Amino acid sequence: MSQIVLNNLSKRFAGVEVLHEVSLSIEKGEFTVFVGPSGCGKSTLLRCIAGLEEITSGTLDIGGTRMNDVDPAARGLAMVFQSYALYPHMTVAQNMSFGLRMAHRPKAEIDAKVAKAARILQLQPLLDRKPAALSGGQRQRVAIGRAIVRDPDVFLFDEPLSNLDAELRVQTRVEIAKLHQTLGNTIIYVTHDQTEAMTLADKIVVLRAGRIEQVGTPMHLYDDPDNAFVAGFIGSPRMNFLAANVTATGLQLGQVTAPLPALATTLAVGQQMQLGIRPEHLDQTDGVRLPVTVEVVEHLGATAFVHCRLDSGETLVAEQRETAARPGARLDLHFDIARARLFGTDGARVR
Amino acid sequence: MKTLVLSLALVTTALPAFATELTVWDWKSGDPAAAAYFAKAKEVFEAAHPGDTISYVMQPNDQYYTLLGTALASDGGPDLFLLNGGAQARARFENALPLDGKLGDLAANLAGTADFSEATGLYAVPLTIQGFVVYYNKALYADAGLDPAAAPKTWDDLAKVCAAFIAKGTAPCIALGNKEGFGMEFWFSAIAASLWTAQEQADFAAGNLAWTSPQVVAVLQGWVDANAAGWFPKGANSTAKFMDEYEGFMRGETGNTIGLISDVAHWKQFDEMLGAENVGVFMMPAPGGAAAKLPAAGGIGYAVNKKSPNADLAVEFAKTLASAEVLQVFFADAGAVTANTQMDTSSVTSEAAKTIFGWLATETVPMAHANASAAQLEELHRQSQTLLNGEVSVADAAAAMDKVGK
Amino acid sequence: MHWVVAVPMALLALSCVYPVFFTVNNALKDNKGYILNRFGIVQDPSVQNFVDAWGRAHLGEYLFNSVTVTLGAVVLLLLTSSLAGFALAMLRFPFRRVLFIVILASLMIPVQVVLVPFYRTMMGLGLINTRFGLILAYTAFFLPFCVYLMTAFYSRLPREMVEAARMDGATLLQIWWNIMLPMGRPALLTLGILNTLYCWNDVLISLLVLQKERTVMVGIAALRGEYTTNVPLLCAGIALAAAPIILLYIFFQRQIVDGIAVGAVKG
Repeated sequence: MSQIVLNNLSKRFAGVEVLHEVSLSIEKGEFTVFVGPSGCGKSTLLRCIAGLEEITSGTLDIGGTRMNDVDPAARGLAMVFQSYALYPHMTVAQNMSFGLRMAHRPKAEIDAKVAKAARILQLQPLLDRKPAALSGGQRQRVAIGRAIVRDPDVFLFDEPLSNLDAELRVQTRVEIAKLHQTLGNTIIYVTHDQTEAMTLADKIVVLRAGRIEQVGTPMHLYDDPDNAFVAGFIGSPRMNFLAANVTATGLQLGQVTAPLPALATTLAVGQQMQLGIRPEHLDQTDGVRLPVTVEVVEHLGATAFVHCRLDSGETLVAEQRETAARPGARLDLHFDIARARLFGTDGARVR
Repeated sequence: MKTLVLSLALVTTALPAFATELTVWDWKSGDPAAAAYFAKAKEVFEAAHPGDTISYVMQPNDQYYTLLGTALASDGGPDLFLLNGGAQARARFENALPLDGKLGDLAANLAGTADFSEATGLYAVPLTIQGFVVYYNKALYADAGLDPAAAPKTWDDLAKVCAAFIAKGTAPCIALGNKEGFGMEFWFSAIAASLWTAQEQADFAAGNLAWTSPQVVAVLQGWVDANAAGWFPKGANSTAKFMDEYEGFMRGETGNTIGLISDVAHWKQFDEMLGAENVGVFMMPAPGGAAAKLPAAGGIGYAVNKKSPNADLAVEFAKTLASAEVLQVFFADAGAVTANTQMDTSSVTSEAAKTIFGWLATETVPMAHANASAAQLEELHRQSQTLLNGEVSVADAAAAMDKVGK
Repeated sequence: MHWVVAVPMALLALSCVYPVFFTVNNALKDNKGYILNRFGIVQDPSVQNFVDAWGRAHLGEYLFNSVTVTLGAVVLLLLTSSLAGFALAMLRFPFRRVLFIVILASLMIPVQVVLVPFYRTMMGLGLINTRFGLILAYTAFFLPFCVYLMTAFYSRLPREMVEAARMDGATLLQIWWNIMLPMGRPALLTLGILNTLYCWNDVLISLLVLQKERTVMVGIAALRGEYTTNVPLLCAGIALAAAPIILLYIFFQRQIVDGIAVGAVKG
């Protein structure tokens, strides 16, 4: 049985619906990531699960129990906030033990749980410090420690890495992944960063404007997106979209002619389409040829992002391992039509 | 049944065993000079009414009328309350019990009742008589080449005195208090006393003598002329009138000052500070030839709250407060000139006081400003400043005064 | 360049210190000595005025009343305003904004306007002449500003802290006591200082409520006569009345300066 089940869950703020009948199942021990652009409702969805927002309609079940109206603390959850929300007047140990103290647990139990969490997160030397005396990464660990101490069935993370610098973000990301492997709890994690989603998730939930666009494993979403939004959101740099016109023999991309990929759907001649090509797939030596003018080259060491313009005026980015491209130079890009994805003008995937 | 109620009522009124506490408001009972008087009144009353007690509540003077108004409006006022005679008293008559026919023998022996009365009757028992005289520093008179024994009797005499002070140049002739605020009402009433006829005083009190009439304009003109002649000290003052004007006089900084005769008995204070031999007194003359008079009015008096459940007992205590026996203490300690005409003042040793008491018997006339409303007094304060600054003419100031309602 | 700051600062300091000197200097004179020499240094100092003020003017008893009432009112004010500020800033409930505006609006009602209904209410509740009545009165009169300040202060704190505490299983009262109250320290300290001064210095409300017994500032006000004032006695009274506040400042100097500084930086 699924650990968390949302059924047609909706949320309205002052008459404005921000979540539209969301239905979702999350399995025990699964690391689920809610991802989407800002304002998509991912944080609201998390807060509805946490009990910090009331559910307007629909149902929320956790561990087989209806939780719509249950107090946040009684839902068996622990949450790590974006701002960490540490209590600045308490030491690290007091921060971590707050929930247990409020529940009047015996002191020995509190001490043992705090010590255990501190060991897992390597916080032992910091237990007597106040949050103001900690670095951003340390505060993050204390916030996680506070969640661990509660020994919850489900961890909720609300954009936990967004206040950290790039290097620390990568490091902490790995730590969270390790933590999940160690503890094995169910985790729901909200982020706007598709890299975090791809690297951490067992299951990604892509949201847009209060609706789920697609649910699946990272590779599933990467390889087989349901629509142009998911295709564009997952993967970095984002997928290139080129206008395509269906002809009798294939696809017309500006001056370039390409064969049709293998499709179950039959396309009408003259139909307008969008062809999605990921930048990393434009590093072929044969396949469809796209003559372009190089505009900017970003060297990242191992690879380079080549920003180009087609003769049709459309721009695209190619990721190339070795390139001699110079701005202003002409370049021929090649891609395998089997790796490209086709979408209708409404964004729906055409398979 | 009717008889039962009646007899019950008789029993209750006849039984003094119902211990009553009378609450009495004032702004004076904490004053060391008045404390013995208030204690004496309490003692005498409690001895005569066993079981009943007096509770004095002293309110700070500057908040007194605000608090009294609030308490009375809330039906939570004291049984008795002290009032200043004149306009302040009249503003509270609606809350006071009419006392006509309630004071017994005392009624015949009270002076100053006019300032606690309206056409509808007497509303408070006066305790003291207040009045203005001019005190002068005999030592400074001698310094200026004047005869210390010859007090000015006419406006021309006063002009000569001031001319001598100006010629000497060490001390201003007439002390003047705080130029920004207290104003000229002492001057106004003192000059008016000597200038106006009894009919004119009555007309002014009734609001029938306009400020723009020649009689009132003459008083204002005297103020301007005296200033133009250099009788007053120059420059701004810093503290309130009493602290400034009288303390300066007590330091021997000015030759003459218009002062009080009662409550704060200036003769007593000045005798102490300057030495009795240096204190002289005269009645303020007025421009023209009229004989100088002493403006006097009921000073302070006690009203009974008409909503008091113990009004009868409160009237009794008011009578105790105004009795000659008790007031004797007030006179001895504070030099208060009492409203009870049966008071024995023969024990007084101050020459200045003896002179004043002599005048009180024969020379008193109404105190003009005591009949002005609070709004008029406020405007008078303002106009007196602008007159001294030369910002307005006397005619304009008088016209402005007429615009303020009584 | 430094004298551009130093000279005005020195003048400012002098303007603060001189009244204190004037008060103490004159408190040691007798009335005649004061009138004859108001601004000079006291010639033969005497503590008689202090003895008189303490005993005959009852300032000793009045001080006790002032301390009790001020302490009671300030504690009650801080507790209630931080509770209300917490609710208004952090919780969602119907008519929250309306309530806040009503509280704000009540800031604009001058005390004098409500004196009569206030006095009637106090009489009706039997609170006249009780210290508890005065504590309640001060709390009522000064509460709107305190609630406003606490609401404004708490509004700047992250709401997530309260949510974290809710996730931690704390009740609203536990959140207030364990989180909001300690977090509100800078604002509460500022309010504590302000309200201590307000309550200590109040004359009008105290006059109405405590008629049999008095607070010390009423005692001081009563030292000013209708016509004249014994200035040395008044000075002695003022020195006695100011002493507890000055001691308080000396004891809590660090916290007070910190409180103001923290408020200023974060404000």
